[in-house]
Amino acid sequence: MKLLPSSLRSRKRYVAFRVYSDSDIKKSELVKEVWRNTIHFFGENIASDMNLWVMHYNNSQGFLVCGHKHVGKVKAVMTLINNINGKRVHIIVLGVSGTIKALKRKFLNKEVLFIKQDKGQDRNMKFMGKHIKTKRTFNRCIDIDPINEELVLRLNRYNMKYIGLTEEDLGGEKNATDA
Amino acid sequence: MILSKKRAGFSMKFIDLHVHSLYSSGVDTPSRLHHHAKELKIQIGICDGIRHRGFSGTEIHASTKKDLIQKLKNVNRGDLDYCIVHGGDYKINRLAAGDGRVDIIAHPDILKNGSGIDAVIAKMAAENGVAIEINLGNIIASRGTYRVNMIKNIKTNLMLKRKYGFDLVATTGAKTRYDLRAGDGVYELLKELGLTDDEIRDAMAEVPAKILKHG
Repeated sequence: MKLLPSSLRSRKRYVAFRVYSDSDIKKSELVKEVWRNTIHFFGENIASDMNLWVMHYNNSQGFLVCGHKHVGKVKAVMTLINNINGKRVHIIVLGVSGTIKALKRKFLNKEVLFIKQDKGQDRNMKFMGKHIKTKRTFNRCIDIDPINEELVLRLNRYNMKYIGLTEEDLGGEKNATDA
Repeated sequence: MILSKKRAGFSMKFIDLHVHSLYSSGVDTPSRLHHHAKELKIQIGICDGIRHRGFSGTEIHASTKKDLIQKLKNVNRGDLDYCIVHGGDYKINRLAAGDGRVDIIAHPDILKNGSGIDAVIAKMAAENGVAIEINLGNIIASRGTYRVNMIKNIKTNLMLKRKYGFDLVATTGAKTRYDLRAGDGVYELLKELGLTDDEIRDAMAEVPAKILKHG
């Protein structure tokens, strides 16, 4: 089949995004969830106008393509996604561009590796008076296993694995004083 | 007023006043939440009933009117920037709307049985400067008919706001770092729910800033 002349082709926008999660997310799972949320929130008719297509996803970052009039709707859909296949996620839209080249230059130019798996490394650190084992680190952020039963229940309720701390929190709860 | 492209995009200001940390019902420490908020270019207020770095408030859960009156007396406003009352019961909503010490009524809707705000509560909220919450976290977390009812209730409250002039405030009700949302996403979502650009700007930034200033 012949391609449409360039004047009749729909104008595209490329949306870069990053997925935060306690678990690894596969591209197929992400694509399924994006479509499910689009169709649930906007319906099949509007979803068909959006020309939505997840083009690339690897190592928590990727980009999708959509019609130039539907960027807002895509951002709304990305805001609505909080769960992929029972794993808690948060998707951040990094930016929008008219070409893949510009998108990669502006928004996907950083090192993809932003989480370091610690595999239960014991750094002899204390939080809330208990010894903790770090699971993942990123910048100043540290993910740890729950330190008591109540936190286990909370994490299960929110489909999460780790408690989020920063380096500031280790060495005492300096910034929280009872009112 | 039409927002400029830049305003409507990444620089859309958002102050989220309904965030919980590890010290109430959340799973992350306040500093981790602030770290994530900084990445999203938003400001947050943590309502644990404890003074933290940054904006701090409290969320009151009351089962009866008497309970609410007692808990409002016990709130230490000298230490906290704002006070949220967890609604969802018509009597609690009405009492909270008539009390100037309350800044926000959170979760005012009674699910299938309506938005929790009627003409009387709307008038009282407008007179006493009590803001009604649009909790986006509930919309994000829900599916199907539950989400339909949530959106319907928000639209009812929006209609009442346009008639009686009370304030609406957008929040995420975040209990984890993954529940926080960036300003541009919240802007687009509120736009889809039928709010105008001016109403969105008020709900996301102007009303929270006013609450923090008065608190």
